[in-house]
Amino acid sequence: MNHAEIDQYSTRSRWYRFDPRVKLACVVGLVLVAALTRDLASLLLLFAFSSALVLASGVPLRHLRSVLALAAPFVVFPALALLLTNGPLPALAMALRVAASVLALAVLTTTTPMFHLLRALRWYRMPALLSSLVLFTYRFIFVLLDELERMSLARRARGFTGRGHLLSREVFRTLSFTAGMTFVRAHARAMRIYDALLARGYSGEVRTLSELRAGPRDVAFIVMFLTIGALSVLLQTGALT
Amino acid sequence: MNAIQLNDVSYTYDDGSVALRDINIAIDRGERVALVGPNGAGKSTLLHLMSALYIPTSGRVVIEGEEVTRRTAEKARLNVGFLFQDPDDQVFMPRVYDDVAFGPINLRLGPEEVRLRVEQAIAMAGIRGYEERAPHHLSFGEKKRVAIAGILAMRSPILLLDEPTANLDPQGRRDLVNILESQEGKTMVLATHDLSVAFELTDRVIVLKRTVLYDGSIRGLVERPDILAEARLELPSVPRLMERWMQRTGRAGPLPLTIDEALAALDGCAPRS
Amino acid sequence: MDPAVFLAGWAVGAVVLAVALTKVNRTVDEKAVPLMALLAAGIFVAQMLNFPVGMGVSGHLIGAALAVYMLGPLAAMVVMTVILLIQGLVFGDGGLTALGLNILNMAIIAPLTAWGVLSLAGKAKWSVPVAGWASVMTAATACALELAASHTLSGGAYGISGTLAIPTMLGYHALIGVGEAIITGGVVAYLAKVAPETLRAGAVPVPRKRYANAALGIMVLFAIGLVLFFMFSASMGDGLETVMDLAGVEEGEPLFGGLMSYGENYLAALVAGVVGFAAVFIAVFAYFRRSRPARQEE
Repeated sequence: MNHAEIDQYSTRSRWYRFDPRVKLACVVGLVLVAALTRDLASLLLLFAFSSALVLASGVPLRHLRSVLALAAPFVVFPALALLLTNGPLPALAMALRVAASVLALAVLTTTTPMFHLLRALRWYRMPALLSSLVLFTYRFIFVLLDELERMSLARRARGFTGRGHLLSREVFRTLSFTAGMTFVRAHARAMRIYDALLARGYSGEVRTLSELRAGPRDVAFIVMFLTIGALSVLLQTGALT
Repeated sequence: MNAIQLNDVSYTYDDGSVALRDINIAIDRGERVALVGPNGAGKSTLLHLMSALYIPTSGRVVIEGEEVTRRTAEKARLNVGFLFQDPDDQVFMPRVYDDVAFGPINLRLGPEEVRLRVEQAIAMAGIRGYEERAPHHLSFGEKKRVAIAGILAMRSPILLLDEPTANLDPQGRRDLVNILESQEGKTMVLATHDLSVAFELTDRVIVLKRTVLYDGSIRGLVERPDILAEARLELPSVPRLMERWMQRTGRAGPLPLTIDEALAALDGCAPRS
Repeated sequence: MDPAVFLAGWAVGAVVLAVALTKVNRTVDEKAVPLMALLAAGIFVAQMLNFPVGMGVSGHLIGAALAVYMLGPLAAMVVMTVILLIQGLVFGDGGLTALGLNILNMAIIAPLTAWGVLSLAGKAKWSVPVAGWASVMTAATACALELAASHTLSGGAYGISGTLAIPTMLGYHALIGVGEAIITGGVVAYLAKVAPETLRAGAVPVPRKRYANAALGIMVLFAIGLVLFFMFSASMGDGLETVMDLAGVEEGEPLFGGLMSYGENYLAALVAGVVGFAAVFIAVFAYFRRSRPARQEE
């Protein structure tokens, strides 16, 4: 996967034009509400809402599948653990809870370009050091993956099969050398990428083309989330049976 | 005022290896200079110093009249547009338009001015119509144009280019040379192995091998085979051909470097019918 | 996780993180940012890899020990936090709900443990692998305690009961810790041979500060552990009262009466915790100080 691929459908999605600060707050709010909700009906509502948001976003399903694949273990494993320890109902609740959160986050990541997201985080007073680090770490992850792929191809071309477990001496040596070499090569590329950004005037501040400005559609967005949140809470407290 | 000035500059890497020693260079505004030398000569390091990305270990680097120090480096960089060798290292954003706009936005220009510059830069780089495309889907040559557009949009008075024609197909190379040719009034430093590009675009050449081996006109350089040898350089085919031809026919005069010059010299010989 | 555990995790995490950030901000130089980012990226990628620990069990790396070895404890905390942020916000992997607790466990407790071990062990060859193993174990213990606390506090709706959580987590992670130890040790050894300049910024402190550092690390860990422990036993009335008697503290007025029915217990627990923490800190620090010969000020 390329570093820009997660964002690539963002500009054409329905949720792109909404203020990233609003999207961030609403999605995080939903995740929080889900975390504190136990009632199955409430969780079902949140899950349905998140799914609707994802479907309405206009991001191609193909793309969504790869984005959600990353999060799938987080839905399955805790639910499984709960199934074995506490029973089917808590397990289902957990699955719905995590699924709702993951889907909401997917809306955020696929419809908000990285720089917009960081700008929103900075607006919420996240320190500049953190936003710089998030930006570069994100980019460098893909540099590393790229170098790893190249090295593993080169290894396979020379007959290394990778069988045997961690404590096998030969496998361990090869793997640790690969890791080391990848790191060293990625280091050179990483510094070039950093320098290139500095050369174009990056100084730690994250800037975007247009000023962040919330408009009426953002108000509608917030209202939508608040309504669902309120409904969910009411369902949980039993006021709506 | 010089655009770029280096006084007794040396640069040593963190691991102790010396990259550059006792560099003294002065480049005027609007001058175009080629920077040549073998691999490992320090060309890239020198460009980094000229763009205020590195601070010299000793000596002074002065860009557009201001000395480069840790404090002034950030501002100094805005005077210099640095085109990196690998566009993958330089192109950052998921959309061409956004990437070209990155520089102007960092210059804190208003949205209208940014739009204007981006559109002009995209036109100059020949990538009109690519605005919505994702850079990582483009070919090498196309990515290079996006990188150039990004630099041009900043409208810096100084342009530094690290091996700009490397890995480009012949047409791409031609297009790049045309783009650079059309940049009027800009100070330009071109680090390259490709001497023919140097001949076409510049009049002055600096030969670098950790120190400055030669700094003068290109014509002067071709008459110094010793320096060419030490810098592991080879003249391109046209001058080499003309060199042998002139030896064989006993013709005297300046060595033709470009095709045009060679044709002029050949025309001077009456054709035997 | 139970809301109370959730909030407590965030509270402690946020405070420690704020301290780490301010300190790092002041001391970091421009060129350190890409290096920190590269390390964060490396650990992130390493965390994605499963390694088999035998018997069909596989585990993941945390990487806190490596970060501490290369950057020191505070910068390591920042780096681990960045990794968690990217996982949760940028890749949306669902870890966002537990972000506060994850930060506490993996970005604060694990690095602190590693730092404590590295400080105590100094230049000993085994310092890095043991730091790796220890960091995994303490993070796992904290997690188990949090799960258990959630379970008792929420009456079974969240978390996993202590009797199940603690032994399974500890057992499982004891094995994973071995993998972490081996890999961390291997990476450090490789870098020491091939690219020693990358280890320059390392964490192994000057010997005279060893004990102070270790004591500090242990104390912070102890404080955090204390809070967790009291939350765990908060609903078990007798246990709490006995401890409070020992600490000689009066039960305070309930401050958070209505909203959280266990507010009363928390306040008392917190007070007891602070008193206990201060007492133990003074005691241990004084002990270490006494055992150091007089040295000149740096």
